Amino acid sequence: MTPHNQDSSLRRARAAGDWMLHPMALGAMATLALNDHVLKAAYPSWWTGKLSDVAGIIFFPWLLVSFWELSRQALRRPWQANRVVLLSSIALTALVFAAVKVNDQAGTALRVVLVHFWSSIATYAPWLVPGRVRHTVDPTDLLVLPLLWLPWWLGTRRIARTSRLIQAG
Amino acid sequence: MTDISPIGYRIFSFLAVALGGYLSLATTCGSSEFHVDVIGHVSFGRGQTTQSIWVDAEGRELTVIFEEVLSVERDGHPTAPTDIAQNDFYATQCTTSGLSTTCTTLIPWNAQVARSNSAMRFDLTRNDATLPANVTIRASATGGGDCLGNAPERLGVRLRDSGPP
Repeated sequence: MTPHNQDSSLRRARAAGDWMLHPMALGAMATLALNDHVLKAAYPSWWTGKLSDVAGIIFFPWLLVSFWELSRQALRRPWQANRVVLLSSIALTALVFAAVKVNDQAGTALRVVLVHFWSSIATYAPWLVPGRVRHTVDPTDLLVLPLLWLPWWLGTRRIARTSRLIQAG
Repeated sequence: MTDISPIGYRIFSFLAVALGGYLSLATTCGSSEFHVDVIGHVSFGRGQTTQSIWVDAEGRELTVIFEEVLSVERDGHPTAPTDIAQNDFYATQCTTSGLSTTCTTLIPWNAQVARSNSAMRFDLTRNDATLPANVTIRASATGGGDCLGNAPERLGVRLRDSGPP
């Protein structure tokens, strides 16, 4: 690696929230948007039902990590995420996902919160409110949980690489 | 790959996080489904064995289940619903695609049907057509709401006994 590339990589590693610029996160977000707003309506089926779960479970832990980093940066605290932050995000994702998919009351509670949120948004920016997105309480959706291994595996590699670059810098 | 400035990279990072948050909040809107009962009235004339009933889904994906016969009037006189057993009826779901119409007989009566058509037609057939009859049936419709909490009943899901609008 040339000094220029190393400097560039280090600078990139130091942007809080840049986890969401990783190709895996961008690909998962694009898949979720396409599936929720196009494919589910055009091809309502088992696989379109699962595809959003797959996409969401892949990028959501990294979204939580990004929020953590941005919050820490706003507080002017050291914000580089470590393995504990990543693991906590993955655990929180699994917990919320499982609760919403298995328990009707958890799903209803989440929906009530979201309805209040989007109703507030609609007051000021109604064009931001998404159309209806169908979700079902379906325990078989838990089959996608093992995919959390992917953001963990890539995330730990990313954390290790960032640490090496910082030490080298 | 063209390098971008640190400021640009930070802006892109922030935008990607915002997009991820938006998509996450949008996709979980319908995590709890709405379930509503809808009542429909079907009138059979003398000698008429088949009558259609329509479910207005208005473009939403719904699961419709015909639950029970609530009441039956034969020639203006109430009759116990059990006098017309559910097995006396055959509910047929018809789907129109282009110029062709495909109908599927639903047996048993309470078969589930999930469609996203603007309107679903169900043909009810009775075996005994000697007298005119008014039949009231109860069906349930299940579907996702929208992000503002509008349930299917508030969005116009209903049963009616005439053709599509």
